[in-house]
Amino acid sequence: MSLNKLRGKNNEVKLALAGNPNSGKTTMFNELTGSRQHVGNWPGVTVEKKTGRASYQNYSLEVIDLPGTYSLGAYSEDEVVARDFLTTGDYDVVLNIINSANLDRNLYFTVQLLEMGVDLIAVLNMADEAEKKGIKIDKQKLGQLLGTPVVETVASKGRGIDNLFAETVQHRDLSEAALKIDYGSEVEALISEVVSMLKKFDFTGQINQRWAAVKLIEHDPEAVKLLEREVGASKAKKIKSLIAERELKAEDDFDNIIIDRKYEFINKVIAESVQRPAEDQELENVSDKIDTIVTNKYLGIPIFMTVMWAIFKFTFTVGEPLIGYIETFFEAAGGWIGSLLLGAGASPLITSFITDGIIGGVGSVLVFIPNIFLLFLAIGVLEDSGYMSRAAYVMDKVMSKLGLHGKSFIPMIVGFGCNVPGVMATRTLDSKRDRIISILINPLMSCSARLPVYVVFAGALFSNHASTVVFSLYALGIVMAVIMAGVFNKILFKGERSHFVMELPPYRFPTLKGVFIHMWEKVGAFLKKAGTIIFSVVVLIWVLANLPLGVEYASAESLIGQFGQLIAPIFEPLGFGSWQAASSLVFGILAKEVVVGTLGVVYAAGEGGLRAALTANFSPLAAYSFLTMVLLYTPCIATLGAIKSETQSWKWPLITASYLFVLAWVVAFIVYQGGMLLGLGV
Amino acid sequence: MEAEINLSESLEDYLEAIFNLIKENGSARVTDIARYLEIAASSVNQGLKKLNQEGLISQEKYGPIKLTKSGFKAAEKIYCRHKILYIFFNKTLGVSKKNADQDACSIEHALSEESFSKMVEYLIKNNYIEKKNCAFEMNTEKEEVKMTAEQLMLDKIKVGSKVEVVKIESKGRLKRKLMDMGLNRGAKVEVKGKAPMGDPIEIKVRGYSLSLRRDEAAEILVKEV
Ligand SMILES: Nc1nc2c(ncn2[C@@H]2O[C@H](COP(=O)(O)OP(=O)(O)O)[C@@H](O)[C@H]2O)c(=O)[nH]1
Ligand SMILES: [Mg+2]
Repeated sequence: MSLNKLRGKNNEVKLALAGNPNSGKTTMFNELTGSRQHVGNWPGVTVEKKTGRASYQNYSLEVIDLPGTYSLGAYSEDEVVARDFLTTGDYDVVLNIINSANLDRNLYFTVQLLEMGVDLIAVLNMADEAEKKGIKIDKQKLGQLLGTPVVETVASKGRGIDNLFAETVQHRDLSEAALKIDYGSEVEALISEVVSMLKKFDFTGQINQRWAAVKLIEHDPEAVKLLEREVGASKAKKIKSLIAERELKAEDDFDNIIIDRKYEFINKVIAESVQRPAEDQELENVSDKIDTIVTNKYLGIPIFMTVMWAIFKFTFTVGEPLIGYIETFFEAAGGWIGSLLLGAGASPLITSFITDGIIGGVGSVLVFIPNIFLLFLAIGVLEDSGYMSRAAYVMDKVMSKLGLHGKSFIPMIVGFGCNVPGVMATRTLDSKRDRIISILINPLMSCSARLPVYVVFAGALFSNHASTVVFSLYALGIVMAVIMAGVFNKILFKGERSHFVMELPPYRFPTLKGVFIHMWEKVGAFLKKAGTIIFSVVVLIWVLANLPLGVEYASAESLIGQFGQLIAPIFEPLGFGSWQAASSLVFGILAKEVVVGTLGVVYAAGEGGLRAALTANFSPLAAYSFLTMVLLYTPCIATLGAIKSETQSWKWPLITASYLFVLAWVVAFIVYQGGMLLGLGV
Repeated sequence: MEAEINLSESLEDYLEAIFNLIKENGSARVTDIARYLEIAASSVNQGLKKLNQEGLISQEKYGPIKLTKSGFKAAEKIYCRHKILYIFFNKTLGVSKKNADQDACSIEHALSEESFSKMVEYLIKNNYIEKKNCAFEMNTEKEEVKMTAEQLMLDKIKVGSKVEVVKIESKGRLKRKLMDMGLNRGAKVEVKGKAPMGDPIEIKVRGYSLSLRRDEAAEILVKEV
């Protein structure tokens, strides 16, 4: 098909990389473009859109890395993106990246592209692995059978790239006829009838009509939608009922016939162009051996736990000193710039705005960077090595009991460190349902910022049972997460069935370059998106803490203080109805550890004095109730910002913020009033 | 073969209706069945109760009606008889489609095993039907069961065994997904292992490793090779 042959004359070529997950698209993308790339999001979804530029001879190439997909059937958000892009055809040539060591499944996608009429170059990547397995591919013959140019590459070693460039510029005006597979007389007869109806109804679109007909016969929901959009519901119905009528009389389901014929075609192509060792001579491969250990009945779970613990340790221990440096730097910078400004005669208000507001705000965003950096480094290694999918495999039974997916475990573990990367780690989930539920319950994992609050209160009021109190809060968070996962499953996504039909890719050594590029993209995205939201809210809070003009920062007279007084009665039944407690919770939305600092300010107590102030103002029961509130209530701005940017909608951060507030209030109420009834309120 | 369950004529009609509705729409509800058979919903409910007692269907409260495995087999059998009769009347005798369908409906319940297999033989011999279709399978099932390996659902297969896919019984997106991942009829599958808690399982198909949950595997009919 020549959809939009974009730029026939000048030397611009637009390339898209498409293929199965793990076939080496991203490696190829990096190899083609070097580091000249731009990462954004596809319109409307969080799936990453990567474009980069390359030049070859006097050509200028734009390269797009599409998300991996097994078919054009489009299940996850990723796959929909790839399919939409490929069907609308905003490109000159598709480089179909194929894992040569697994032709059967990879060619299934290639054949679908060719049937749709996509102009593609078949890139036989991972030629080294195929060779190791003793697979010999006759490129010429394969190209002939598929009717498309074939190039062999090893993306991870940069082999064959020049050749690929040469083929690409040579074939940028490639315009092949769509591949036709014979689906047998019964289906073929129906196809031609449907095609002629499509013609009659003026269904032109940009889409190959035979392909559209096959998709309709397969009952592809997207194709049906497209048809209804293009020709209207009543005409679409005529085609649908024709197909339904035939199917009723047929001996076999059409979708079965179509898929069988496709695989028959692929088998024939492979038989004619590929030599491979007989099945029983295949070496038992290393991946299978590793799997027998990693997914072993007794070792599987301990190994998983150890890996999770190692990631957690790595992210937060290595990160801590770095965070310390960043904090110190921003404090010093604030102080230095502040005195400089005051010295230059700036008003205290402006100085405070710049130091507390802007510099403090930027600092509060940047403090997350080391953790996010390290975490995504670790996740990158797990993903590229192939362990990630095994972890999901090992944990799926437990998680699906909770209405979640095997892969939901990772975001939850990460959440104990910080909910921001926790929310971001849900990206590895491909069903929207699993993803949203995992995001919604993530703030219930008690992040490390809440720990200082627990420690201060436990030290002041529960000195004999401090660790038990802290532990009970962590446990309470997990219990609530389990309960809420169940609730959301029932009310939000009733009846949607998720599945665990997932490839377990072969184990590989992750490459340094791949992992670093991966990590850099994630951190960059966080800085750009969450950063702007967090920053503006931080500034807003600063303004509220300083208005009306002339009040002391965050005092009872400031808007924040007044707001604290206004909402304090809400917390009365929970045992802590003072404006001080209320405004510390308001500030806690900035960042949970701020609760401690605010209590210090509003009780006008120094470091040591806070304990005394807390003992004087909270009964142990009220303190425990307050801590459950801190554990469960509205997450910090950074987390809400991350939820906004991950879900691309205000709806989910708003739902998260409000359900958690209600939940926290209810639980704290039960704790306090229940405690009073039991006579613990002294 | 499993023990035969003798069903009354009307129950067979219900079963056939459910089978066809599921085949066409992906689900069968009481109102659909009532419309399909042109009878009152209340009598449908009675019929369903009986089918439930026989263990042929399962229905959660107000949920769609599902065929159990034996229900599916029984329905398929009736469906096959209907189709063979229909083809026989329409194609060999030239009876009009409408009448062929109606007559098939009334005869299907009473047809003897012998006439049925003779009819199938005749249709195959004269190329009216292909060997692959359901009638042929029904006809030769008894011998085939003895001759070839047993057919089982994939979740029942021992680790280390190699099997071949016979049929995907899943519906809708899951069926599509499974087929897109290379699990169509005739695909060779080796069960590689199971997760520490016994679920999901890992299989090797078309040269790569794939995991799926047990209840997903329970919808894939396979035979040993
Ligand atoms: N042996 C070998 N490994 C490769 C080749 N190309 C990519 N890889 C590795 O395969 C894995 C998956 O590659 P990636 O580019 O992430 O695949 P994508 O999912 O298609 O983007 C990475 O660990 C790569 O280093 C190749 O040609 N040969
Ligand atoms: Mg990739």
